[in-house]
Amino acid sequence: MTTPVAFIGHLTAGRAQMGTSLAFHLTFAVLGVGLPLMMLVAEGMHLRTGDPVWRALARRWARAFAILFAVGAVSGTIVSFELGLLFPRFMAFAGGVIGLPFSLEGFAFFIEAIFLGIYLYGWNRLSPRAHWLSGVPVVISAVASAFFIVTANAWMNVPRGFRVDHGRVTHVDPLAAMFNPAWATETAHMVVAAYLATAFGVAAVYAAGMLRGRRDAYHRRGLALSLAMAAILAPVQLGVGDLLGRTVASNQPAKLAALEGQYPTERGAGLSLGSIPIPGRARTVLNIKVPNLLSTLAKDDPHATIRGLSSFRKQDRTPMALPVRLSFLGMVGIGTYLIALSLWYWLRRKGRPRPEDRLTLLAVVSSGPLAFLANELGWLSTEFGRQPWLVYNVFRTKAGITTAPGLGATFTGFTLLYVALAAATIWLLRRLATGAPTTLAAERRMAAGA
Amino acid sequence: MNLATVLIVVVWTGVTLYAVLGGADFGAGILHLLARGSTATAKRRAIATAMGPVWEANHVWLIFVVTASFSAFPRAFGALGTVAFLPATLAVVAIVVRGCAFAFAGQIEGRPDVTARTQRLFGAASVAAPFLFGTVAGGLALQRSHVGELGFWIGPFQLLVGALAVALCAALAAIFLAVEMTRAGEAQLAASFGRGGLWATTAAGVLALVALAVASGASPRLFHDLTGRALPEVLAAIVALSTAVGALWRRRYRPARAAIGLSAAAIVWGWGIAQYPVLVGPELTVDNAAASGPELTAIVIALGAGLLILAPSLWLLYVAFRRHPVGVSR
Repeated sequence: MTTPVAFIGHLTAGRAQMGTSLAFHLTFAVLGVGLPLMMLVAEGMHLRTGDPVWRALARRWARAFAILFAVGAVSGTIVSFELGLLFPRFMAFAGGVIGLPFSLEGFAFFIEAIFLGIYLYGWNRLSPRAHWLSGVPVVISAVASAFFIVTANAWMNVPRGFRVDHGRVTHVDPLAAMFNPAWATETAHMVVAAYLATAFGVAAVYAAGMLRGRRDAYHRRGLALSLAMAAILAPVQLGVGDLLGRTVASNQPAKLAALEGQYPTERGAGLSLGSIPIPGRARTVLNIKVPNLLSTLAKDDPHATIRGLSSFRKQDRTPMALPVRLSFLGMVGIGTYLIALSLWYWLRRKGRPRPEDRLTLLAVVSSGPLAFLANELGWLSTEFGRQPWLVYNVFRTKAGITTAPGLGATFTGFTLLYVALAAATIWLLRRLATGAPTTLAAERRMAAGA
Repeated sequence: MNLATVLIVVVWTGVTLYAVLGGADFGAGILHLLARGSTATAKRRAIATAMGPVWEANHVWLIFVVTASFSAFPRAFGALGTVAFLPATLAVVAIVVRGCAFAFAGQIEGRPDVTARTQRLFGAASVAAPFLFGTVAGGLALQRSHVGELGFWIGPFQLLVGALAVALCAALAAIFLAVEMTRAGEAQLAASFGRGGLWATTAAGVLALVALAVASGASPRLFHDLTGRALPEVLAAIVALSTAVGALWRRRYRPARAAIGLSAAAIVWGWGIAQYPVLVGPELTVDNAAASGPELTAIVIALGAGLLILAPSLWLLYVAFRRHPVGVSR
């Protein structure tokens, strides 16, 4: 195997292309899970109250969703192809084991596409109630898709339900593989993260509109609905994240050590707010620690022993300790900020209802991109943290990569494609976010008069 | 019949549905690109309206085929990903470009220049995707994955199969649209799509016969299998294509639609039966590339349960938009 152009290594190029594709797909997949619920709540409010503002919100979100779902579907198609194109030896090894969740995901996605077609094109063809009902399968199958895909990733982290004989997988128990010890916490963390990012993303759009002086009922309700969803779910995510941390602690000690920046093995380890690893050396800087908290959180015992990264053989621990630690800190930091922000918004509103001030609105605007960034950082920390394994302790990443040449070229090509797609999507969505529909004011007057 | 055979039949049914439904969808993009003359705008609008609610669902069949084949035949999927790396990469780019361009074009308002450029991109990618898939199909039929990457999909036979796929897609779309336009009372548009369908179907028939002739020289084994155990399907394809041409000539679009759908299905099954049980030749077959028993059982159960939910949903989708035929004058 010869690579003609060697500006980037073969394995690095393949991993970078897969990672870029997943990072791109994630943004749209997250909205694909989150937006249907918001559309349905807004349309349901319209059915209950008859207020056209709710219907206008639902219709606008549905139009945005038509664009986002299309990009999500095609970028998901890329990912399903790339599994075979970039990591064919991994698929030949494990395709059967993760086949069950992938097949189920295929159906869930199918159902979502079908009912989305009915929902998007059925506004004037179905009764209002039937139309609302056609959105219910979209919400359910969107969550189911995320659930099934993430169980496959959970298997890569905590592989169960098979044996390996002479390099081939045998004695497969597909249900044990799917319901591995990490399935519950990992899927819950992802689904809640998707709802949260969507909620903050939508809130940011309306906060930006209000900053430009559009303080009508359309914007206020768009903001209130999305921040209500965020306020309910942000504290839930704190608990789910803690449970996932425990799953990592008991099944992937090397990953836990990398996430927490813990190099020495320690009894009664403290939770660090810094601990940034220095590349090439087995030590960290900025070691600001809360005593005994890491042991308590990970093992329910303030004096429990936490294995440090230095105690693992070099070839069995992640070579990317710095990115793992930084992306984990970033995710946790943003999560904390988002919880504080939603508490702040609702406590202020409850005390003395008054127009949102500039600072609060600016904070909400920042929360949208940050929430999506937190999703990306979470995936980076878990994927980098699992290296050098593709399937933890079973199958190495370098054993899965394709033998086909030219990955540097395809990586470059796909990256350019994603830049173009992102630019086109943002251009379109910006044109779509042009304030309340012009017909809405007249419609509201009519509704009030009737 | 063992589980692996059941699953290859399921995968092949998925390939057939993708060829017919996804193919009609690609074809709509091809016709969009080729629309000329005074009725071009009306035709383009008819295409967009007819595709809108169903294109996403039509393309999920591809995801179905991909996930079902890597679950059930992981080793064949890995081998195909390696040998068809380039055409499959290019095909997925084409699918992305056309999917996004179609969805975007429908949402752009007030910028006719951007809309027109987006639509051309949609049309060009709609030609490229079935062509590339056709070359991969041709390469698989020749069973020569050992000759390496370029030899696998670039050759007279493979390129002819690529062209055949493009012609079939155009024919499927044109005839489907002719039926829709007849129902919507747009006789002039229906006739225009019908003429396009006649050209495309004739081209598909000629390309299929030329491909068969080339196969006799390029791969005596393939020719032997196509004229041996796959002969019923090959004959069915020839009869169905001739029936479609005859029906189009007499402007009877409904029978033409059934005939062109049957021809596409007969070609896909003729190819499959000719190379059965080989998946990615010369080495990987249905039996030696299949996952183990428990995995196959789980996949069969999952697919069965999935189909129980899927079938009524699909029926609902097509019925919801059938009762309200889409017309261009709406």
